[in-house]
Amino acid sequence: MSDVFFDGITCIRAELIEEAQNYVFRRHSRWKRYAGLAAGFLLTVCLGWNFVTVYLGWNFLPGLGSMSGGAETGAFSDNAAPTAESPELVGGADMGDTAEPEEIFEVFTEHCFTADVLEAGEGYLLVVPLPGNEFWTVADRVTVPTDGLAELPQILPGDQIEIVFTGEAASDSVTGVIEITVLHRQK
Amino acid sequence: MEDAQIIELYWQRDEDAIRCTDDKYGAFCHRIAMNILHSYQDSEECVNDTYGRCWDTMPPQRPRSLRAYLGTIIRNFSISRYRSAHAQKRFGGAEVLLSELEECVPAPESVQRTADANALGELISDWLEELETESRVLFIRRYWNGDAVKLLAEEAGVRPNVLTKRLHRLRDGLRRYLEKEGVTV
Repeated sequence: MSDVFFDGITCIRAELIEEAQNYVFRRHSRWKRYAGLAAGFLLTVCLGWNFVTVYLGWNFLPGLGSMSGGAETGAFSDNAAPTAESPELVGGADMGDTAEPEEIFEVFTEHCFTADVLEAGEGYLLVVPLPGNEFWTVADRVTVPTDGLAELPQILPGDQIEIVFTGEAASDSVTGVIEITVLHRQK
Repeated sequence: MEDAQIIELYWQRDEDAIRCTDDKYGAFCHRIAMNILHSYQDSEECVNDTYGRCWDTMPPQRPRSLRAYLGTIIRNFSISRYRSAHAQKRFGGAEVLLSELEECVPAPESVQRTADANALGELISDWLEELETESRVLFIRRYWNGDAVKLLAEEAGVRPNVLTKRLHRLRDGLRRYLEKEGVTV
């Protein structure tokens, strides 16, 4: 009776035969199963680590405090003080955790230089930085914006001032001025 | 060369048609014959007979799929050779395939409906089309091509015993389908 089946199968439709000859099997690779297990294990470890450091406040690696997202071992711990010149984000948000939102703030590095005032205009000062500053090697005219300052002492041309800023120092200007102090008044 | 061009050569009675067929489908035909007969010499004769049959039947035939056409012819030649020599116990390849296909025979209490090969082929095709692609391909590669379980398992990236169980479930499914359709053989 199976002979009839053999003949019957011989007569199946040509398109089915073509499909079977051209089909490429998706290989059920065994390594995928192990890779899936390893990925699951890693995820569990990461989530567990995050839970321990964020919720329980345990810190196994103080030097890596900012990496673990721990609230009490943030970027301002002794070992992790920011030194980069550009602003950086600090806090637990970089781990993408689900803990209570922590404060996210920018850390700016302050710079200062001294300069002689050439011109004091509306919202700006034109100054000549004194030698010895870290930004300008030759005496040049630098525009210092004063718009954003909460407190600005009276400044006259010829005064020597100290300028504190957190922004960038270009060849002819600075940004992010936060404080200006008069060092010497013009006599 | 495209199938249509080879068929055109047959229609033009150009003997290159047989050479082109052998170049493109010679290995395929040999494998099917070997899977049934397990004898190189007999397979070679079946392949040559197949080319001769193609020469005789085209024209008037113009098959849509030359590969399926060749496969059907060589299966018929191979099983005929197997049956003629079966009494002498010369071949073992088809034995296994036929014994597995015994499981597809529906129960005798089914509604009587004699099925010839073509009608059965249509029913099996309908059933195959209901399957997911991989199962369909596995069934055809095993029972139409006659590929070994070990080879198929290697291609599919599963263990042979897993594939054996899967094929068993497929045969069981075919039997139930044929019973539902009221087929007896």
